[in-house]
Amino acid sequence: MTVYREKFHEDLTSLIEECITLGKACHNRLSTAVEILVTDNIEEARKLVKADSEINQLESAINAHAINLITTQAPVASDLRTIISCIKIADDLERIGDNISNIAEVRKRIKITNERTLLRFKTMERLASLMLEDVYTAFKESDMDLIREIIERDKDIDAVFVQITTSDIFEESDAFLTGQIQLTAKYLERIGDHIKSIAEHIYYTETGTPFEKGSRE
Amino acid sequence: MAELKNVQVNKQDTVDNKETESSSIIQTDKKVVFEAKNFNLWYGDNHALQDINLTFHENDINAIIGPSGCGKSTFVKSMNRMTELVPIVRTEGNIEFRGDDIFKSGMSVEELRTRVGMVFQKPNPFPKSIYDNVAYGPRVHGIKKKSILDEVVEKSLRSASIWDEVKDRLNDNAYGLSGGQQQRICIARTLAVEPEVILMDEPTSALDPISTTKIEDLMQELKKDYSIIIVTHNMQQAARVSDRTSFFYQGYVVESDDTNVIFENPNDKRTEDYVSGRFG
Repeated sequence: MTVYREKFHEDLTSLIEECITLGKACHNRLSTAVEILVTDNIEEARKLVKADSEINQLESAINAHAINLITTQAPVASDLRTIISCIKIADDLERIGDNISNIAEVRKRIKITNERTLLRFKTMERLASLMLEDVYTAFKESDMDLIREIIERDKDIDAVFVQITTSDIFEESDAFLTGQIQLTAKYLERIGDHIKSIAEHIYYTETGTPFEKGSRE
Repeated sequence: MAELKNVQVNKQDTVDNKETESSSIIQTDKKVVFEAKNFNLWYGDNHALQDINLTFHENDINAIIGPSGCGKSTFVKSMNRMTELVPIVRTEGNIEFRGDDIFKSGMSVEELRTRVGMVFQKPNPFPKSIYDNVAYGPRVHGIKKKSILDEVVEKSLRSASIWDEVKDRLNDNAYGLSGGQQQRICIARTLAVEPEVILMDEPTSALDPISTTKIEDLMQELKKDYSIIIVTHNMQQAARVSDRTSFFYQGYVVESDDTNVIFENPNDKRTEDYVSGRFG
């Protein structure tokens, strides 16, 4: 059987690689964002905010590439699902980048010193980072069981968020600091939501059916 | 030996597909117009169609897709018994039209071809006037009265969306029209004998994009009154115009389903590879 459209499939692979590059960029910045919350040097936070423009450029490039492939190649079936999912995943990753910037903005405003709160943030960051790493593995290995597990794991981040906002927060006496902690917790919680969304897009690309809660396919 | 092995593998695949197909029978209230039951066709020793089982419903546009030589045109031609014109052809199994086996001895080929019209790849108007082209069928059926013929010609040309373009030059030779117009004249000629089914064998492959769009729009209008079965090499056309799509490969039906399933999430990898352009 002769294989056709090799150039198209090379382009498709390259589009996926661009998404992986964007994902790795977000992954690196995520741990940095939580680390700089405790640093004295505010310059690190400024750099991280500035670096968000790189994330935005990567997302724009993915969108342009995807639109070009749709326009010129008229893709169908799994090829089309892959391209549409790349656009959506790039959007989620870009929003993750925004949330990382927002965490850096918090550091620009204030330094959080409460050890327990910082530990909670570190836990949320680790949970999110592991979800992102596993999304990559699940995608490479077409492992839908892992995808389902990742989607479930978002609840762990939500649980820590609830713990911070309904309990820990009342230990702070400073209203401004309380607000900044709440915002940081919310940014990390949203990052978890976006990773969950990425996992759902991968599920759709692989199976052709949207992920629904309780889905066993 | 290697070829024989391939055939055996394909047969096994087809058995698997039959199971898939039977488990996803589409529930519809529409009446069945055509049904192929274990239909086989040979050109001499070449087994061109193998165990074809397909059902076509009223007012549906059914697309048949597949690579060159897969048997799609042969199948469509079998539906109004045009393959009989080839001396070495032999068939087994049935094709039923409205429940009647089209190959049974009492079936009139003339009546079948009246009820099942055909439009070909290249426009093939007769070297006559536009009017005479469309009136040809009704005249053969014995209609002589000018007023009735006028009415049939106008109605058919209107149904084929070409009346406004030719109404002032009905006596001009049809050869003077553009390719797209000639094809619509051929469709009007088919409609003039009031068929129930229109078979189209790559009806737009010789046409420019605008003419193609006009024929595709016309098909959407025609499906209100007719059942259409179209063979096309243009995958996007099949995706755009049809309700159901059947994928033929090496003489078998690999998959037949709603068009959106075939183009969005087909069950068989060969279908996915074909509609994605990975082979052809």
